[in-house]
Amino acid sequence: MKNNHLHMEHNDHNDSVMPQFGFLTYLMTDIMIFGTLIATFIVLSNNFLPPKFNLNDILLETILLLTSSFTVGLALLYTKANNVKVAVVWFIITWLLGATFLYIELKEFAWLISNGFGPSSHAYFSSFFALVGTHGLHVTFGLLWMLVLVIQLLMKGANITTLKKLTIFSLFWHFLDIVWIFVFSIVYLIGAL
Amino acid sequence: MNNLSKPNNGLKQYIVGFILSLIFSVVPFLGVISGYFSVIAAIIIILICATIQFFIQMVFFMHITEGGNAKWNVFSVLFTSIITLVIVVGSVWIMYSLDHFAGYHSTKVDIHPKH
Repeated sequence: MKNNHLHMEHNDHNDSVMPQFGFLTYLMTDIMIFGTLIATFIVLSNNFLPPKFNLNDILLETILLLTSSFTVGLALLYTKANNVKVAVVWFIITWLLGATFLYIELKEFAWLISNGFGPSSHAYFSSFFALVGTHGLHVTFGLLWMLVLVIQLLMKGANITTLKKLTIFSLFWHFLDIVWIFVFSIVYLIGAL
Repeated sequence: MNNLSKPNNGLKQYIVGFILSLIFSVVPFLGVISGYFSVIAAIIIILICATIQFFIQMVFFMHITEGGNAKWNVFSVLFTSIITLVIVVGSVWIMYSLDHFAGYHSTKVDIHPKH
């Protein structure tokens, strides 16, 4: 009987894309979270003159994160090519770029807080720290995740499992840079106008 | 998995995506720092560059348009983007309207009432 037209197409899918699609679905919910944080920030930034941001620092942060998104792609390519040594080098570079980004961001937070612009000082800063801080927390978690995966890559080599995990991690890392695009555009660039 | 020690496929995508993203990151920065544009023009440029870079990174870095699951990937991202746009634009619009119209019908309080 050819009555099974209604069966879901998923049955025909190569099972290897499902973990990635599932993770992409999670990333979509993460976009919703950042979307609401951005909406909140925009609303609470109305009629408020933000402190003078150091746009050079922000440009540096942007370039660091963008480059790390590029290098993690390279690392993944080398993993696919079964070249663990070079892949690990690129993962370490990615990690250092991300850690430097976080360092600069934390320095900025410290400056803001010590100058009376902490999260409890004004609604603008509550939403600022919620938005930028949540992104920074994601970066921190990504750094930790990367560390664990690189250790696993060194121990187990480049096989199907480690490749799948690293692919999913790279989706997360790219996503962080994509969110940062909107954060730096809306918070820092528009805020500097 | 191939056993070449040097990657070849996909490298071009990452390089193209990286350079394009760099361009669309620097352009809005220059637009703001130079002070050449009006506030509204600058905002439009910033948001357009951000949106373009969003698609660049989605296609070139995250490869959502590739593979057997491409249609599902693209649809998910598009759907989420539309919903998020509604949430952000809608919230800003509503709150701006409230702020704008809030005092329109309010009763003016005279602090020096004359009896």
